[in-house]
This record gives sequence, C-alpha cells and structure tokens, in this order.
Amino acid sequence: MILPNNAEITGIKVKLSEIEKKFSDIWKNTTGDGRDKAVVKASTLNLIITINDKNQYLNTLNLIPEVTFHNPCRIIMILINPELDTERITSYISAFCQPPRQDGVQLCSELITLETGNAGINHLPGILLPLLLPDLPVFLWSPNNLFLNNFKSQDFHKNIERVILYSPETIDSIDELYKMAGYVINASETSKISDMTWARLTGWREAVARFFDFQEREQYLNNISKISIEHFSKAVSTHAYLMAGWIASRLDWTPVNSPDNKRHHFIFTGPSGNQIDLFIKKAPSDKNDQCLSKVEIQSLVQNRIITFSAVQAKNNIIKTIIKDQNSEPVYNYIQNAQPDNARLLCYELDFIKKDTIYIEAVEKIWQIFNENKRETVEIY
Amino acid sequence: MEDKSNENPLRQGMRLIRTPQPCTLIIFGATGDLTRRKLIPSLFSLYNQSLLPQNFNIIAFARRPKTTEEFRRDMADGLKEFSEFQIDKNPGLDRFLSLIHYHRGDFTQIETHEKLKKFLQKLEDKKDGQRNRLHYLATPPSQYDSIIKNLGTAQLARNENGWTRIIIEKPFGRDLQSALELNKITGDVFTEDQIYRIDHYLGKETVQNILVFRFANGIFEPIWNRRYIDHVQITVAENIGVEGRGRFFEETGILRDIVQNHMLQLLSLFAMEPPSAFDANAVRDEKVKVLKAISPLSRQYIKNNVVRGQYAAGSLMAKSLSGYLQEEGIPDNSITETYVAMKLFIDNWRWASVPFYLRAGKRLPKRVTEIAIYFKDAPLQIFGDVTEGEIPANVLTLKIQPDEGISLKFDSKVPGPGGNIRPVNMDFRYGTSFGESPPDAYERLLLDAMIGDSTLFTRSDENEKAWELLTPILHYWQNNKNRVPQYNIGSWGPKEADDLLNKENRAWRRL
Repeated sequence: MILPNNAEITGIKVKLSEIEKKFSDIWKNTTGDGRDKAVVKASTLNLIITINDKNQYLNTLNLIPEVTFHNPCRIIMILINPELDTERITSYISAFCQPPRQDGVQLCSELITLETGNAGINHLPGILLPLLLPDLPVFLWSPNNLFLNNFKSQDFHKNIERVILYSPETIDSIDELYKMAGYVINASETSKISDMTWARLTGWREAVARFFDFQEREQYLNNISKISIEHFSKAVSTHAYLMAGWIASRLDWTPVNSPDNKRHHFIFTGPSGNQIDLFIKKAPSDKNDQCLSKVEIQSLVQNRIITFSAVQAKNNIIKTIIKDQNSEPVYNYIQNAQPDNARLLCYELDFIKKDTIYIEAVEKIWQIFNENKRETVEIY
Repeated sequence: MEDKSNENPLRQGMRLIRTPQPCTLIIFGATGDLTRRKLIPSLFSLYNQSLLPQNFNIIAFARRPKTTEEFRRDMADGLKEFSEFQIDKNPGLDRFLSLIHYHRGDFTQIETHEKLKKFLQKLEDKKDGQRNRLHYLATPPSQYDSIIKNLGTAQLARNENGWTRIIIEKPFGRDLQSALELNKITGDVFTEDQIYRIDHYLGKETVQNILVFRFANGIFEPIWNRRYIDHVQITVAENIGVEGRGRFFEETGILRDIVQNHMLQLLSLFAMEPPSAFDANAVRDEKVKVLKAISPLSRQYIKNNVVRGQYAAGSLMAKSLSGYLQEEGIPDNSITETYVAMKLFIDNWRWASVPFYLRAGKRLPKRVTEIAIYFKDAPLQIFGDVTEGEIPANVLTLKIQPDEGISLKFDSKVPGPGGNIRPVNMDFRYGTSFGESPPDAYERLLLDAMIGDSTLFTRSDENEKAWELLTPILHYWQNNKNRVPQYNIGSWGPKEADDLLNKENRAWRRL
C-alpha cells in the first residue's frame, strides 16, 4: 500500500459536510467557560498540500508544527492514493497547537486531511473552495508537482494566490527539463508559481548579483563573454539551468543555435550583438549536498579579462573572487545555509506576488532548448 | 565604492535578506551596559541566523584593563542573561566569541587610535585584507568629540580599500546649539552618508509597520487627515523610575530622553506625506518636512500647552517607591522633569488645526507606547434616545509596545431589545497573526548599518529640526524655577496634564 491506511492518518474522521461544525465544537470546548481561555485559533492563510506517497505524508506531517508556528493557518492536505479505486473522499480533522507562549497564549492551527483515489480528483475543487477560510490568501504546495497534472479546474486556479512547486533538482534528461519548463510556463498563465528548487538557488544568485552592485563594474556586466556553471548533479542539474536562465533573462540575452550536440555549450547574443558562450558541466569532485559547485563569469573590457568566480566552500559558504589582471584579487563570502523544507516552505509563504524573475528564467531555459532542439518533444 | 545595487539588473526580485560585506565592528565604550545587554546579544542572534558576514570581527574598545579572554567571558555571561538563544549547548557560541577582540585604551589619546589602526589592519590582513569598518560609539556623549576627532586624525574615518561608517547613539546633542556643534564635528570628519544616528525605536517592527499600515493599505490614507481625524494622542509610558541612573537622568530629563527622539520619530512617521520611494533619503525628506511644519513654540504657547511633572513617593504594584527627589544623586531642588505632556500642531494642508497630544513619563501605571487616533463624530447622532448623545469616538490605536498590534474601537448595538450602543474593539495582534516574535530593534539596525541602508537612522537635519522645536521649552523651564508639579507614582501624570485636554473637552486615553 502506497498510502497509509486510515489508522495512520492524523485526526478524527468526520463527514465532509460536518467539518466546520466539528471544528467549531473543538474550539468551543477548548475556549469555553471553565476551560483554558488562552487557547487561540489563529489563521493567517490557507495552505493546500497535495501528496500521493506514504513517506511524503509522514514527512509533511513532521513539517506542520514548524510551518504553523511561523504561519498559523488552516492546512488542507490532499492525499491522492492511486491504488484506491474510488472517487469517494474521506475527511479527517485535527488541530496543531504550539506550546504556550510566555503570555500564556497558545496558538492553534487547523488541519483537514482529504483522502481519495485518482477518480476523486475531479471532485476536489468543489470540496476545497467551501473549506477555504474567507479573505485569507490561498497557497497550494505541490511537493511532487501533482498540481501540474491534476488540477485543471479554472475555478480552483483563480482562487489560489500562489502555487509552490518543488521541481526535481536532478532530471534524467534534457528533454524532461524542457518539458518541465513548458509545464511551468503554461501553469504560470493561470497561477502565480514559485519553486522551492529555485529558492534554494538564492544564495548563489546573491553571490553573482553582488559582483555587479557597483557602478564601476557595470561595464563588465555589459561585456560578459563567457560563463561557466559547474554542478554536482549526476544527470541534468535543474539548478544549473535555472542559474543560466536567470542570468540570460536578466541581461536580455537571446539564445542562438549552438553546434554542440551534447548540449553542454550554448551560445547567446547580448543586447549589443556581442557573443556569450555558456558552458554547463559536471564538477570534477563527487556530488555533495550542495546544488552548484562554481559559477564563473568572464568579462572582456578594453582588452582586459576580469573573472568573477563564485565557488562553493566549506561550511555552507560561497567564496567569491574577482580577478583583474591589473590588481590583487578581491574576496568575499556569502552564507549559503540550506534551510530545511519546513523553513523553505515558510519562506515561500511570506510572499504573495508573482515571481516574474523565476518565470522569466524558466522561459529562457525553454527558449534555449527551443533554439537548440535536437528532437521533437511534446510541450504541455 | 558607491553602492549601485538598485541599478543592478541581477538584483531585481532578489528575496534574500542581504548579508553585509566582510567587515569589522569597533565598539567604543564596550564595557558599558549597552554592549552586554543589546549589542552582543543582537550580534549573536544575527550570527545564529547566518546574517553576519564571513570574516567578521568585533573589536571591543574600552578603558578598563581586561584581556580578550576576560571580556569574552563577560560577554558569554551577558548572553546567558540577555540572549533569546539557548547558550549552554549552543555549538556556535565559542565560534562567535572568538570573533571578539578586546582593545584597551584611552579614547582621548591619539596614540590609542593609532594603535587601534594597527590592530585593525593586522586583523584584516589575516582575513583577506578587506578594510570595511563600522565604528559604534557606545560611550557617554561627552566623549564623542574626542573619539570622532581622533578617528579623523588617525585616518580611521575612511580608507581606499573599503567603506567606513560610524554609528552614534542618542542623545545627539543636549539642545539645538550642542546638536549643531556635534553635527559640525562629525561632519568635519565623516560625510553624512557615513553617519548612522541610531534611535532604536526606528528598529522596532511596529514602528516600521506604521509606514506599511499607512501606505500599503488603500483604506486608511483617505481618512488620514484633518477632515476625519479629531486629534491624535501619542503616549510613551514607563513604569520604571531612573533605575540607578539618577545622575544621568538629572542632566537629561524626559524631554531630551524620550520626546526629542522617540516621540518625534513616531510623530513624523505618523504624519508624513507618502515618500516617492522607500529609500533612505525619500523617507527622511518627508519626515523632516513634518518637523519643519510644526508651529514654533513661543513662551506663551509653552506656558499654556506644555506640562511637566515629577513623580512623588508612592506605591506601584504593592511596592513602596521613592519619589524622584529622593532618588540617589538627585538634588532636593531638582527641576528635572520625569513627565511631560504637550500639544502640538502641524501647520500643513493635511493636519491644520488637528491637535497632537504627546505625553511621556516615568513611574506611570504601566509600560506602554502607542499612537491613538481619535476620529470625528458621525455628523448626526440619530440614536440620541438610547445613547443620550454619548457615543464614544472611533479610535484607531497603533500599539508599539508591549502588546504590539493595531486596534479599532467602534460602536456596536448591544444584543437585545433595548437597542443600546456600546463600543467594541477589533484587534490585530502580531503575536496571533505571526507566530514568531519580532527581532530586537538593534539586530535590524546593526544589519542595516553594515549593509549601508540608512533609512531607519536619523539624518542631521532631522535631528537639528527636532532640537529647534524643543529647545525653547528647555529654555523656558530653565528660566522658570517654579516647583515642578508632582504626580503620584502609579498615576497617569499630574493634574495639569489632564487639564490640558479637559479644557478642550477631551481626555487622555486610559491605558
């Protein structure tokens, strides 16, 4: 059995139509006369989580205390069990309470779990919408991207403020990555999309951006001739391509066809017609838990080569080095602590607006592959 | 090098909290209470959140003979008492403490600054040679002059291989004249963009939220003016007394200690026009305009609209407490105020004729800081029979501390056939909407200063305008040796303060 049996699902089993009444009873009993009046139901948002795997269910349950600590909310967890040959939806409710604070107040969040088989997916929008707390933002977290495949209801989409994906950090083939980029671009037309894999790149983006915070360096930014991105992934690194897509989209580079059949070398044209060579390759060392090992940017200004390197160092540090042949190297360091999934999710829940920078980076990846197409792939 | 990060296309949409460049923080007067209670715990918190830069050093500069080891032990003890983090089993504690280096010396001697320079360079050379430096003056203000001049003479005010900034703790002067002199001394050595005048109130989340509340929400700004607002009350109340700082307080008084900085900052954030952008100069330009628009205070105006007071012996929370004049170090004939209340007007299009009532005091019933906005009554009371015309005004309260949040008082029908009307409160509390507690103000401000963002720091013209406004009160009080009105400990101030509002058919909010 892929999903936990009923006994393993957290909460009290209740009829769908009685969810609100049962919650209301719980809160009345908790805060009513003679009870501890310091218990407070708190909600700042609605969080829908879609999963279809037993381990993921348990892992997700483990995240909930931290997520609700930082963002008291109503969580609606949807378990789609492909082995359940039914469209019936079973519902459970429970509450997550934080330890009492110094002032004696104890904040609690609500968890609703809905379990169904694939056949029940079409019913979900009609069930979810009434369960959302009014006037609070709705986030959908789809750690295994079930969202992309399953929730096609427009009514549902327009009620979601933000969809948080967790795209695979390693993808088996370039064409899979191309396909995923297509998915995200399509989905972004109806929803605001963000991606925890993208969020994990933030430290690297900061390191690269910081090279060009000073006016004196602008000329180097405009005269980049070569970029090399090294990663630890054994197959196709989503991080490396997102990094490339991000730089190319921000600097308005246009991909052109590259003769490299292995697709490790890509060519762009800059706004002033200059050529930029991009190399994506595996790092020489073994894979560790970091996404990238190095990003190196070369600029050619007045016959001088300036190299900007960001290198993964020990203790979650990215070391940056600026080498100019006419002066001493300049070093800098960026903390790149990789937060756990709970912190990363909390971080994503702080933002509501559309992450256009991410979408434009993905669009650039799509353009790169479109320009360097070697075979036909279906775009969804 | 000039920071042009706003123009960097790679910066667009960056969501990371920026971490500063490698730098060294030099704390002058490091053996004082501020370092142990606030600065080191805040830096430790930043360290635990990975927000301090790599290759970061702290130089603790003070007169007392101590070794680095001794100083680190003192700071470890301080962290046990004042840090929000568990200290005993914190694996990062030793590493954090290893960033601290004690440097002994007399601030008035140029030689000690020369030694400091060598010490700094040695430390920096060990760690990649970056020369980014942040001086923090945590000394009594009387030492600012010699420290700043010596920093200039020792060429520690700027260098070719990095940035240099200076944080100056309040008070920035004792009156307009001394503020001008201090700004002159500082300005001779540092440029304005190097100077960070710290008022920790601006680092409080709730203070920053005044701007978000006003300018991110469409519903409040249209009513934020004289058409809808009857008056505004700003309160900064403390239940503590001078707490062993009698001599310092005797020289200062509540007007200098609280009103000149914290309260005028609150007032200007509350009343300012929308800035063109949320950047340091745009925000501060608007704040200065508010201070410039406050009507100057004549002697007659001060006599009628400014009240001072001193707490008299009494009891608070079942504890008998001495009056101000009985506190250690306070002369019997002291006229230093422990309480002040005043009415101000901002003469601009938005606020003309709206009174702003300010009150601040020690040994009041509770510790509370808030801005209460009283709205005008509905144009016609159609529920006259049931209310006898006594419908309380709508009040919007921005609670700065301790119950951080926003509350709106409005009138509602009491359930039942009678049709009675009673005021009810609608509350937003940070604690229940955001699980985590807000960071200490110093954390935010230290980080901003290291990054180079001066939005939450006071600019010289702001400081001068604030002194220009209040110096006439100081002069009036100096020349008026009458007995200062007394108020009972645990009361909300002297009778004269109540009269200030009562004569206009208003009353202070009971907190």
